[in-house]
Amino acid sequence: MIYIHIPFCESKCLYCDFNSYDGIDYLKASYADALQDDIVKSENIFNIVETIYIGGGTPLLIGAEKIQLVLKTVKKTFDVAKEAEISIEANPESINPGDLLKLRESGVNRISLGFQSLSDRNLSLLGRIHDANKAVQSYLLAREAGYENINIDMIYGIPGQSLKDWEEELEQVIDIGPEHLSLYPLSIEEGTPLKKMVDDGRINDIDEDNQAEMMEATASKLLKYRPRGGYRHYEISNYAIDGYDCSHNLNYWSCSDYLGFGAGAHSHRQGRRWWNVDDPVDYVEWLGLGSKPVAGEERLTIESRVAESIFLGLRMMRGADIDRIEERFEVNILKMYESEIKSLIDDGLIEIGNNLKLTKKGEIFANQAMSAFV
Amino acid sequence: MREGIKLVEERDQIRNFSIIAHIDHGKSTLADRMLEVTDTVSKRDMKEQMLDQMDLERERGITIKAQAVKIDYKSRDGRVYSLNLIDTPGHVDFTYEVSRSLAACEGAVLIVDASQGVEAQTVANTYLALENNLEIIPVINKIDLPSADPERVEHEIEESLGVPADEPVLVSAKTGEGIEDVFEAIVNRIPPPKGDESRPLKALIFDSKYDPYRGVIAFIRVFDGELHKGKDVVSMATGIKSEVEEVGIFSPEMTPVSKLGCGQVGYLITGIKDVNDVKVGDTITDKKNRAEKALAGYKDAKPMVFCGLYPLDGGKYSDLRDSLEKLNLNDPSLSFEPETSNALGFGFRCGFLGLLHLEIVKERLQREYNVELLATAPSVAYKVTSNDGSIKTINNPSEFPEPNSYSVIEEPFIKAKILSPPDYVGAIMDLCQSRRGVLGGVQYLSESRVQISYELPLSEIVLDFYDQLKSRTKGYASLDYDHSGYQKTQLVKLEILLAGESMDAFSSITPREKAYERGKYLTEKLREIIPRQMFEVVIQAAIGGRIIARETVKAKRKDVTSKCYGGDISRKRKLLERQKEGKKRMKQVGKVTIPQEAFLTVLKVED
Repeated sequence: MIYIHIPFCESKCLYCDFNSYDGIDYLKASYADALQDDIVKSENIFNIVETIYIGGGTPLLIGAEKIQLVLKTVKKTFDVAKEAEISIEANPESINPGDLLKLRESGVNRISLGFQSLSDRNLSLLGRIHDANKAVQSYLLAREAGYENINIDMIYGIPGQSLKDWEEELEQVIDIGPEHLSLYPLSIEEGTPLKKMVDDGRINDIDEDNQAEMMEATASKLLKYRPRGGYRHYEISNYAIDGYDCSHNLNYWSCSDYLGFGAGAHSHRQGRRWWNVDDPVDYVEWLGLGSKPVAGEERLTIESRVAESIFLGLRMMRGADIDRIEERFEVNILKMYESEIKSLIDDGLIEIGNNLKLTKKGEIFANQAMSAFV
Repeated sequence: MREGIKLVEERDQIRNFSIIAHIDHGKSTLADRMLEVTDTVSKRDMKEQMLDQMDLERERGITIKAQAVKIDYKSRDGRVYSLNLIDTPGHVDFTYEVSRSLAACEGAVLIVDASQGVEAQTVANTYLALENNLEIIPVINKIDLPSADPERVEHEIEESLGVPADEPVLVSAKTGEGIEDVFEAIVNRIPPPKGDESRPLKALIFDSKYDPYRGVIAFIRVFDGELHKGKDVVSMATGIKSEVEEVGIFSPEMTPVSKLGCGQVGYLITGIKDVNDVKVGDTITDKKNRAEKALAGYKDAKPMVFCGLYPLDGGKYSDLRDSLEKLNLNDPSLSFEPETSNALGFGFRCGFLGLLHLEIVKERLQREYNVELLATAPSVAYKVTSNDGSIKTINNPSEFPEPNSYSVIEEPFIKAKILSPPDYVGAIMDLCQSRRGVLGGVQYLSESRVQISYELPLSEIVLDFYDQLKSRTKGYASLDYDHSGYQKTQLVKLEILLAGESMDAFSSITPREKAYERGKYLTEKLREIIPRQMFEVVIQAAIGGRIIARETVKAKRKDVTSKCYGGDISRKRKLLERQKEGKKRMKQVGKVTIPQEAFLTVLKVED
């Protein structure tokens, strides 16, 4: 599986702490070159590539043609499966029919749309540059271009948003009918403009109780929604119609190997994890000088790999696969964590079936359960 | 026996003296200078402040253990004098030890800072010296400072201490100015020791320390008779018999000598291994030729302040026991016995001479013995007379009697002397008044110095009093106190309940009139400190089973990281690790998780 990071934004959203930048348009062309350089020089760790994910930033800002070139380079370098899942993130304002077609020609078959909200008030509070109308338009364009696997990203628990407000937005999104939904409670991260606004008292801080209520309401609303078999809650923040789980992300949560290309992208192979330099200027420069763009690496002990397998596994509603972990690491986690597991079961946070998994209560207190294993 | 150690046998060439001073008035600096100019310690071996040997002593500028050193001084009269300097512990908690050290001397050098003037400790220690009939030599130090005002200080010494200061020695221990005048005053004004070599042995133990190879080393002053190797001796208070293995002097390292004669100061090793058998203030005499009466003033030092000490990590319980045992080797005044707490697990109930002693022990355990500790609120020893007339002493809220089972409770009181610039008199009186104090008097020592006397319950002093005094007077006030016996008061046991369960670590014995206020304060504070948990936590304060205050920590509604993809797995793992680590540092009581900080609230009093 391959991740490609494209860190350009037209304007940075107020809540965003991702590795993305505005005001560096001049770098786009050389960044696309550097990306291809990075891919070509990479070690090939896969027999076959089953998923590719192009994320950002706003990937389309470097132009659909550049993305086509990058994908071509990937296919030249790696053996990409014919039916591979190839996703791209897109923001409503960055979409046009021509680009959508070009991407489809290059094999992109899944689009993740960053709606974030369907309320203009909330969109402007978050610093998004599109409005609700533009969001719905972008979805329709993607459908018209023939995409049959569409995700919509939404954020809830925005200061000033009531439970009823959120339920209404959620109903609208469901009616629009994407195959996949990623629903995140807003979190106010250090160093973001939103954090400063909260600190300065210009907006209210997040109301955790309110968010918790919305979280529970979200799960129950989606449970009731039945068209096309209904949305299944398959990861803490992710829902999908049967057969449309995001394979790429499932791989992360199953501790598979992956290669990341682009500024700040992480790679993982068999317990070795390494990451590229965050700054896209450095990324371009290092590759230009013939160096690897790698900024750091860590080697995980078996214990850490087991711990990661559990806490990432618990993110999925199907749970952590006890037998698979034993096959990989020769460790029986039921024995290794006997007392932790017992006390978490007593607290009603986890249960054991074929897998070790979170209960309904465990879903909202996931960190309590996960921290027992690290 | 080392060659070249010349012992002054002539008793009129011996002078035994102490230096008494308030913290920071320059006691150690003066002592260092005296050692230096007489070449007692070579410059090369001279650590800053030779006599304060522990790190903690150096840091806090106080002496915890007494030290002794022999200085050979060639006087202006051409004769060489043997001066024994006995350095006294410098705090009210160690009053008894100070008085025993002073009892080993004929004179005392009283140092007063030329700009700070007389402080509470100066007064207290001077009185102790006067009680021991010592000749007092006032020395005004730090005359090199621009703010020095020796005349004013001279006036304060006369006014507050009743010591004629017409001949104070003016020195700067820092620059060395006037040091020789101090020596001459010691030689000329302090009388040589009296005593009779032919009478039965009487030697005073004024301190002891433990050496893992030699056993207990007693610091002694010979009053009558003499001591030599092989002599059979007996301690008059404890009745413990032993044979002298070695006697010696401090020059300044321990140096064996053939005998210690009348008036001399030195050390004694008998092979006794337990410091508790060598009691400060006890008299050593000849087993065969016993002295009729022991030297006056012996007391068995009793702990006055108590608290529970618990290892932060429950697995370190036996480490804590080992550390306490080791500390106890050199500090017999520390007492401890095992206790268990529902909140803190296994620990020890410890007794201390006073609050400073408590702090020193706590800090040494953490620092030198590397045991992280949680301490319960300090308590004093209460006397409870039960309905059947029997009297019991309790120092732990858990021992507090049932409401109708007793007739009287008494608590220890102190007489406090507080010295301060006049500007803060109001603030000091407010503080003392709020701590159930009764004003004894206000005396103006000079335009810049007032002495305020109060009688207060000791329990009010052990809880955050000293810090409050310092902060309300910008650090200018100083405090000293004497114990003044027990008085009947109205006390109750204030209990704190978490999730319905009484938490012994938060319980306290509290004056009835303050219990409601205190209960309200504690529950409010705990509500702020205890983090939200997966369930609601009710915090209650109760007296005799009746709830008087209630607060609630609302249940936490979620604790979940919503996003975790390939780029932030490491970061999210570290966050989980931190969460686990944080939880480990908290105490788990039943289902409730309590941060350490919560245990500190009981050590504070509402402002």
